[in-house]
Formats: sequence, structure tokens, C-alpha cells
Amino acid sequence: MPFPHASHLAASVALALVAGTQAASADALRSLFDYRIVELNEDGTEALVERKKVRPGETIEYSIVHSNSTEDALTGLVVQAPVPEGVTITFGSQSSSVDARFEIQAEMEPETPGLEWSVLPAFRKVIDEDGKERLEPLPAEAVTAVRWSLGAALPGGGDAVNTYRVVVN
Amino acid sequence: MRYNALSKRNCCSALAFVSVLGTAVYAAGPEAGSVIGNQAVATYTNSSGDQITVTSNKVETVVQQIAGVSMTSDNNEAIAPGGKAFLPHVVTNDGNGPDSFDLVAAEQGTGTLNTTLVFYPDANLDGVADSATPITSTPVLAPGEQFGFIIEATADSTQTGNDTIAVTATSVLDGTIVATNTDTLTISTGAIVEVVKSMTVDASGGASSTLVDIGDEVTITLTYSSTGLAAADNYLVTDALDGRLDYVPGSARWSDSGPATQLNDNNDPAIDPDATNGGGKQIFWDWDDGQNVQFRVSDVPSGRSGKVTFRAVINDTADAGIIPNTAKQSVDGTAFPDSNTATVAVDEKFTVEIDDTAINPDGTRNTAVVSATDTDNHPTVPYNDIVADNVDVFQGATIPFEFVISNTSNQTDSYTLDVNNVDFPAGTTFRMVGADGATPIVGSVGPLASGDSIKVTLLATLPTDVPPVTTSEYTATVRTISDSNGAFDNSNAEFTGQVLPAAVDLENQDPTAAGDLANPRQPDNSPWLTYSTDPGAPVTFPMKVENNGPTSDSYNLSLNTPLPLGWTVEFKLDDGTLVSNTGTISAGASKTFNVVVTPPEGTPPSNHDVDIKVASSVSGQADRIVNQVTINEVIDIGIVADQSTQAGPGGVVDMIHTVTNFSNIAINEGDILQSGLSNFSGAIYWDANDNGVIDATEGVIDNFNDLTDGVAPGSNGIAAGDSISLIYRVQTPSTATAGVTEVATLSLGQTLNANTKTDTNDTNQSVEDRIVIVSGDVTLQKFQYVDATCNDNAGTGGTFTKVRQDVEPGQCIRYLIEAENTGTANAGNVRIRDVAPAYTVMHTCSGACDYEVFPAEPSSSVTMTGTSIDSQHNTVVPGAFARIEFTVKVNQ
Repeated sequence: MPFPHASHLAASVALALVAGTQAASADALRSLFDYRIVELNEDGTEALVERKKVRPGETIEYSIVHSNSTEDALTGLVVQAPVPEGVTITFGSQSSSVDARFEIQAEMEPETPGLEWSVLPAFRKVIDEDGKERLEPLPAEAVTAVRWSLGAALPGGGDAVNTYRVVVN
Repeated sequence: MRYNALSKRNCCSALAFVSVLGTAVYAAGPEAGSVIGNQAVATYTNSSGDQITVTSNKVETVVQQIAGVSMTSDNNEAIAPGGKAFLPHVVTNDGNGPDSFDLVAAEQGTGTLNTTLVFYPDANLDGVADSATPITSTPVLAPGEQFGFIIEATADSTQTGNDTIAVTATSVLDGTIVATNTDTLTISTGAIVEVVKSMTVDASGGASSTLVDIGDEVTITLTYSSTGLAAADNYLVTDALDGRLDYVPGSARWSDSGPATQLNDNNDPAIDPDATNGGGKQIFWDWDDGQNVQFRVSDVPSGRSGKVTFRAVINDTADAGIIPNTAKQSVDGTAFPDSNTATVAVDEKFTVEIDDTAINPDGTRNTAVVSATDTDNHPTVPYNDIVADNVDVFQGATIPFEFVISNTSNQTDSYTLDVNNVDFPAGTTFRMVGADGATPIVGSVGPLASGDSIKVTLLATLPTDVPPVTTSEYTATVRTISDSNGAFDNSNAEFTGQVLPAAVDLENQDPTAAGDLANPRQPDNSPWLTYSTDPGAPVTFPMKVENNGPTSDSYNLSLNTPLPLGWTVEFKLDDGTLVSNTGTISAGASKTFNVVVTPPEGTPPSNHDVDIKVASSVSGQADRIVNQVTINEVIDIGIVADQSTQAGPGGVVDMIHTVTNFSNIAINEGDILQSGLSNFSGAIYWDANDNGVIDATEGVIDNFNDLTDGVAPGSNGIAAGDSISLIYRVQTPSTATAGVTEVATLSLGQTLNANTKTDTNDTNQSVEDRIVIVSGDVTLQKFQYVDATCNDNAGTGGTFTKVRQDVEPGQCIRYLIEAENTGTANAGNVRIRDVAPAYTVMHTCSGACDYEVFPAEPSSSVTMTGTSIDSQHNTVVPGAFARIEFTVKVNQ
């Protein structure tokens, strides 16, 4: 199969900073990523199926669970995930178990190259061939990543669940 | 024959290819078997104010294969009775995995025409069947790959009318996936013309002499044939060249006029013929100075064919991919079917660069896009394919290196990233994140169009306990690898900053002796703070710990050098809680604690270093302060205890006392005095062997310096912490009457050690002994005479008297002690005891003046020592006597 060897990532958690004397912060916040394939039942209801294979056109629902294993609340939690190559995000499919500000990342300003974050609905500037600028709604295919900035602290022992759906191109 | 059709391409080039042919746009989808990976990252602030980054596990989804097919196009052709027509089609595998397609052509019976239909392969899309072997299906095509075929229709000479033919290509993987074209054939007795276009390329030009690339020359051949029953008049062929091809002026030639005859680009094609063939037919060629060429042949008789060739160059707008072209034809203004679509494939040239700037496809640097973290002073320092970072960091820090990946190939591509640690300290971890510095890169980066660049960041995280260094040169290599063909490029991340210790500072809270410097001692090597205390009394050092590191930390508390045995040390928080660790201290904050040191009782005056240490088990950083405890000199001697006792007249009582040296130094001089007696006489003895009895060797003392070897051999006195036993012996006069009481005071001096020390505790300096005379019914009398020659006056004895006698040293005295029972009851257990007076010893004159006892032994029993005599007479009846005589010798 054509997928080349994966990049050499250091093992699992890449922690930037130092642990204190409470439970080592390597485990203070556990992050679990999972996904299901969305299938339609005969009666039109949805079923979330666990399987590793997906076909172009199918929908994957990604879910990220963060568990606070300390006794203190964790503030300022920001959860970020990419929209990988080969899939396109479905706008409006995102959810967060804790109130959060949801943003998407895309190239939206052609004169200053670089990915930027925006809440939905998002617009991007387009410069026509004759040099005129206009705003158009950001197409889903342009979204490269999503993130949730939680509005409340994650209480000790609590979980935050974030989901979003993508369609396989 | 050169196989132009594409070999396996990645998904995204399909976009460029298919859209040019005009079929439905195909969203850039992943190939079957490719893996969609994903990984999340989260950041949060912990209760100590540090920002922590956590990454999730990776998940992967495998993309399955689905089938897809499209086919071009509908043909509408004329066929001569008894002749053939060729219907070209191109099938494209629109699925995401390899597939092949079954081919069926069926007349629909809409008209009267009946032809036989046979499929022939035309894989190179040159309009001419590749082989004479018919096919019924395509070979296996890779996703996006195309396959050309030609249906040869044959009409016999009796055929008339027309018909439609349904041409279907059906996916072998999924029989429900079908593409259909509809061809229409119409019998014609007029002119029928066909033009076939082929393009061949000479790869030797351009930048690469082996790959088809910009600058290579393409030879285009238009082959026409007149196959109808009538001649084709004013046969016109036009060709609009693809924008990526530039016509080479003057390159047009006609088969009928030979290679030497150049067809004129610039004359008037309406009236100026460029050549004439042997049959008198003329050709009018034209180039419009742009993308359009055409030729007109005055007429082409039935059964004749010819060709026109010209050349074009692939210009620099051509990315890798297919350049297609189709020619049009008309007879006398009536259009006939277009030619096949001929193609030229510009080879894929996958190259990639990773560097500190973007790189253009021609290899030059694009300094408009540079690494944002590179600390080299560019452009004064030339760009060098190294992303440097010389900013000092703390232990455990994350160092970012931003690289620019440039797609220097002629085709869209994606890249994977590989990191190799060359000499960062062991335990350094590496992660790749996207241009925003946070989103993890999982799987490939891209897709990136040809000539575009993208930024990625390498995050190198040092271990929290990495040894601090003042200079460093740590290198890691980042490799970017093309997903399409494995082409790769490397760049280096280089860190040259300091690794600063996540410093911690231990200080005394006393600002005058804080101990702020790195040295645990003052510059003159003395301890920072000295407190004094008495032995057994705790002393407290208030301390402060400052966390000067970049993140919260906690520190273990200990003594770097242990104190001597018997000392105790405790670390306490301000509320008194015993701790061995400071607990978490936020970055930049500090915490106070106390070190309580207690020397054991009796510690002599001395100085002791207290070497306090705080250490982080995470960063390995530590700090020390050396303070000092000075033990005070404590002077206190005490005597116990008051006694009260009874004695008979002429009796002796011993009272035992204990003198203790509570000081922490030895006392070698000081008064031990007795006072207060008037008629009684007392003397203080040192019971050196502590047996409660005054032994012969134990003498009278009046000073601590009489305690021979009391401190150590050769050193008199009483050692620190030691106790001695004194026996105070009081003798009562025999004339004392019952009830007479005297009180003696034994006292210890307060100025000691030759007036150099003063006892600070005067509550235990003295004791009182009270002696009360009691009488029994037994009287006791004592008589004496002098035995000058110590031989009982040569055996003559002497006359006992109570009168005071003079005696000289070396002479002897004979004593008689007579006890008489003057009462009316028996006196039992009568016992007479006496001691040799001071300066005398018991003496037996070698037997001449031994003791005599009445009643004689064994009725009585006598015990005589060098200094005492003790006679036991058992019962003395009323009126009877008990006597003991003995001799003492006066010391010489």
C-alpha cells in the first residue's frame, strides 16, 4: 500500500514542562482520541459503527475525551485537532460537552499567507483576476484544523468530550 | 510505441488531468489503502500557573476502495457502404484503487444500419489501434489512469441509414459502476474524412535530458485520410494548441511536398498556396502567431491520405502532467468528427526542499518566506540550510525550530517528516507541529502545489534534569520525504544557547545575613548566620526558598552534612508542621520554613556548622546555606539532699550527699565547705568508689581540686555531667545531752575554677544536715591514755582518763570506750563503733596493743579496720558493761 513510513514522533506524550509534587502532570490530563463511522439504518436513523475501514464519501465522527485526573480544576483548556488530508470537515457537526468557543483554521487572507483561526460562520477574502476583493463563505475543504477553547475550568476528576465529523473525499 | 498514459499518480494530480478532458471534477480523494491519521493536542493551565501541553493517542482509518469510471466521448461519424469507421473512446478509472473495465458496444437498433463492432486497444491515444488483437476489457488501470480504445465499425456495401451504438465500460470491481457513451453512425455516400493526431516528444531538451520537461520539443503529426465515396473538397484542418505548447515557426511540412519544403506561416492562407502535390492538389498553411495553426487542402480524392507535421516546444507554464490536443476538420465548411486527443506527458519530477527559506523550483532561494525562529543574523549571515536558535533556555524547556518545506517539483505532492537526533542531550523528545506551532502533524504534510511552500515547526523538549551548560551545540536533522517517489531533503536544527539551571535560591530570612550568593558560605568562608544556644535547647533558623526557575517546582529539605550523633534537626513550616519537602512553589514565588536544631544535653561549648540544603528532584537544581550553632558554656554545680538524722552522745553519723556537675565543662576548683557545727564536729569525705562507706583511701575534702583524677587521670575535679558521692561524717560529744540539735550546712562555692567561672544557678549550692542527739539507757564514755612508745607503754599500759592529753606525731593513744546499761531493761544489740580520729590510724603495735573487748570474744565480736573499730556485744543486762579498748597511732 502506498502509505510511506510514518514520521518519527517521540513516544506518546510530549510534555513541555516540569511536574510538581502533585500527581505527575504527565498524567494530570489524559487525552483519548477515538472515532466511529457514521452509517444510516434502514429507517434513516444514524448508527455509529466501530470499524477501521472507510470508503470515500463516508462520514467519520472523531471524538476527543480529556480526563482531569488531578483534584484541582484545570483552567484554560484548549483542545485542538487537525482535519487530516483526504477528508473534509462537516460544518455544524461539532460538539463540546463543556461550553466552549469553537473555531476553525484555514487560509483566509490571501495577502498575508498563514493559517488563521475564525469562529463560524467563516469567510475568506478572495481577490479576483481583475484585482477586486470580495468575501466569500469559507468552503469546508479549506479547513485544516479545529479547536475548542473551554469557557469553564475542567473540574478535578471531570471529563471534557469534543466531537467533529468529516467526510472522506 | 511509447506508452504515454500515466503510471501511478497520487490523488491530487488527477484533478489537473481530468478537468482538462472535460469530465466531471473529481474531489481530491485518498487512494484505496491510504491511511487517514489523526491526533489531538490540548493545552491548559495548572493550579501553579504553568501552561501544560498534552497530546492524545493517534487514530488511523484505512480508506477502502470504491469503483468509479468515466468515459469520453460520444462520436458522430459517417461511414461509407463497404467501408469502416473508427470510433475512439477514452476510459478513466475514477475509483481510488486499481480496477479494470469490461467493454461492450451494442447497436440500439434505432435505425437500419447494421455494422460489426470490434474493440481494439489504443493505449497511447494516437488514434491508431495498437494491435490487431481485439479486446473485450481494459487492462487494470491505477486510480486516475486512462485507457484509450477504438471501436472499428464495418458496414457492408448494402447498408443504409444510421444507428446509435451504446458503448459501456463496466467496473470489474463493482458491476454497478458503468459509464456509457452513445456513438452514432450514418451511412454516407459523400466524402468522409478522418484525421488522426499524434504527438511525440524528444526528451533530450529542457533541463533534463531524460525526462520530458519544459523546453522539450514535441512533433505533432496530423494524418488525414479520405475514406468516403467522394473526394473531400476544401479540406480544412485546424488545431488550437494547448497553452503549454509554443509553435516552432517554420516547422510545418506536408507529406506530399517533402521535408525540404517549409510551409509558409505568414502568407495569406486564403489565396497563397504553400505547396502543390503531384496530383495538383494544393495546401494552404497558416499560423496565427499564437496558439492556432491550420491547413487547407484543395481536395483529397477518395482513398487518398496525407499528413502534415509541425513542431512545438513545451513552455514554462507546463507542470507535470498530460498536455492534450485535438484537431478539428471540415469539408467545404461542413464539420467532420474531431481527431483523437493526442497527448504528451510531462514527466513528474518530484523533488522537495526543506530549508531555512523557501526554495523556488529552479533551485534559487525565495527569501520572502523564511523561518521565523532562525536566530542566525540573516541575511548578513548567509542562509545556510540550518535553523539556528541561540536563545538561552531553562532545563526542561521546549525549543522551536521552524522550517520551510518547498515543493520544487512540477507536480502537487505531500510529504512525511522524519526527525533524527544527532547530539541533543539524551532524553530530549521531538515533535513536529504545523505552521501554527501547535497542531500536531500526523502522517503527511500537504498537499502542496508545485512551487508552493509550507512551514512546519520542530519542537525539541529538553529533559527537566538536563545538566545546565553555558555553551552548547545541539543538532537534530529533519528530513522531508516525498510521498510520491521517496525523494527527500534534509535540514538541520541547531541550538547554541545556554541551558540555564531552573535555579533555586535558599536564603536566611534575616536580611543582614541572607546568604544570597552562590557560595553556601560568606566570602571569608565563615557561616552566614550564627545563633547561640545551651545544650539541650533548640535553636531555630528561619529560612526562605525562592523558585527562580521557569515552572513550578518543589524541593526536598535536608542537611548536606549530618550533625553529630545526639543532635536532632527538624524542618517545619511556619505553622509547625513537620515536613521533608517544601511543597509546590510556583515559578518566581518563594516559601518560608524553619530549621530547628537541638544539641544534646552536656554538649561542651563549641561551634557546629548547620549545612542546610534544598534540592529539586525534578530539575536536579539545589542550593545550600551554611549557618552555625554556638553552644554556650553552662556553669552549674549542685548538691543534694538535706538530711536529718539522730546520733547518740559520742556517736558518729554518716550522711551521704550527691554533688552533680550540670555544667558542660569540668569543674576543677571550687569550695566544698561545711559550717554550722559548734560542739559537734564534721568532715566531708569523697566516696570515690561510691560504696556508701568511708574507705581507708578516702579522705577529707574541701575543694573540687581534692577530687583526685576526678575528671581524667591527672586531672582533678568533677567532669561535665558527672556526679560524685560525698559522705558527711559528724561526731557528737559524749557529753551531749538528748535533744541537743546542731545543723550543718554543706555548701559548694559559686566562683569556680580559680575564679574564672561563676555558677549561674544558686538554688542548688547547699544542703542542710540536722543532727539530733538522742539517748538510750545506755551511756557511753570514752577514756584515753597516751602510749608514747606505741607498745602499750612497754606493756605497762596506762591510766585511762577523760582529760585532754597531749600527744606527738608517731606516738599512740589507747582508748577505752565503755558502755553501761543504766536502765532496767536489757539493751539488745549493743554495738560500739568508733573511728580513728583525724590524723590517726588504728594500730595494733604488732600485737602489743591490739584491741581488747569485754565481754571477751566470742561473746562479743569485733571488726577492726585501719580507721575504725566496731564491736558487737549483743545483750547487756542492766548494770552490766560493754567495753572496747583500742590503740591509734598519730600520723607522723
